[in-house]
Amino acid sequence: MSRKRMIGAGVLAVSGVLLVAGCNSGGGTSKSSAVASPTSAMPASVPAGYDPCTDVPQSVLDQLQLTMKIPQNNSAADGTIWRGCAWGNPEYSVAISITNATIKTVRAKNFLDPQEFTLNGREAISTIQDSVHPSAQCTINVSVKGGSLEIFLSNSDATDAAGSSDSNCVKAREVTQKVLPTLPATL
Amino acid sequence: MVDDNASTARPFANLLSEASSGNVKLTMDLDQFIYLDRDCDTFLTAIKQIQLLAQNASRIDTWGLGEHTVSDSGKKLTSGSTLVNRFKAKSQGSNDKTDNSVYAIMEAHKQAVEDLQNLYRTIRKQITDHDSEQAAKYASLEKSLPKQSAVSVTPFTVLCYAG
Repeated sequence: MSRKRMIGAGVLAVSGVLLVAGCNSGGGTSKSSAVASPTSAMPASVPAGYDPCTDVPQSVLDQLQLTMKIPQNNSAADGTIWRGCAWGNPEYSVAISITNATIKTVRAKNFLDPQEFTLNGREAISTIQDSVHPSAQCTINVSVKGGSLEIFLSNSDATDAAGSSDSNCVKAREVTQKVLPTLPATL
Repeated sequence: MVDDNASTARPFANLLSEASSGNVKLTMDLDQFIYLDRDCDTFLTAIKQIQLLAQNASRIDTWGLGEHTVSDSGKKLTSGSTLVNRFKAKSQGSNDKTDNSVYAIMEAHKQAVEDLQNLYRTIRKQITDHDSEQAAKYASLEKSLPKQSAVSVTPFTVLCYAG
């Protein structure tokens, strides 16, 4: 009887290790036995079907006076992946990417000043994710199938005056509302 | 590069005030003023992009360098979090006036470029404010000059932050 129980425990231990390995496969080669990373399943890749680098129309970029495209392909050790590009103008810079992060996972990270709303019928959330220069950026995530469209706007001209992070989020929302209609209906 | 001067004086404050009093004379074709202005805009855009990269490095929380590692006996791997914090501080810190971080240095560059841009604009305005013919010429040049690429801004590589 005790032998049966030990085998059961062995199977559980093995599957536990596999689960942890799966979560870390998107990121680094951490071999630690107890990593405090979220084990809620993060999809292994970003949703397909929209590449901001090529699919954001030039007309939208021209309207926002955005130039100087640079790639933004980032991944974090908790399995979050971003695929997209960043553009800038003399006033601000904005990274537009598709990520496997969902509204739920963003919410769970407890960033500053979360605001939830809907855009074009999709769930959306704005957060201040950088705590070092909180009045100099805003992030908006809009739900798509398998993840979200993320707009990360950086504006170092915004001062620490009250409400300046609001104005960054207003700008980020303007960008989001121009990009959102260009998403395919399948996403 | 970051000025340790405790005052918040802009880098070109003196020159700017001289220029607005009409004490700075510069002989230059009007179209050069336009190209310079656009080059400054290009420089500012590049600076904003770099600051975005610096902020990006900070907001990605898990770097996979052992900063969340806890040993079986419950001990934290402090060197892991120390290392990550050092990298993050190189990217940006809490004091833009004294940090030696990318963000802070870009702020200093940004102020210098903005001041230079304002300086040339002020000098140009001294011309166009006092000469309506030149003003009209300037306005039409602004519309018609082709958007030539600025002094070549070498593309900078995007760092792979983690994972």
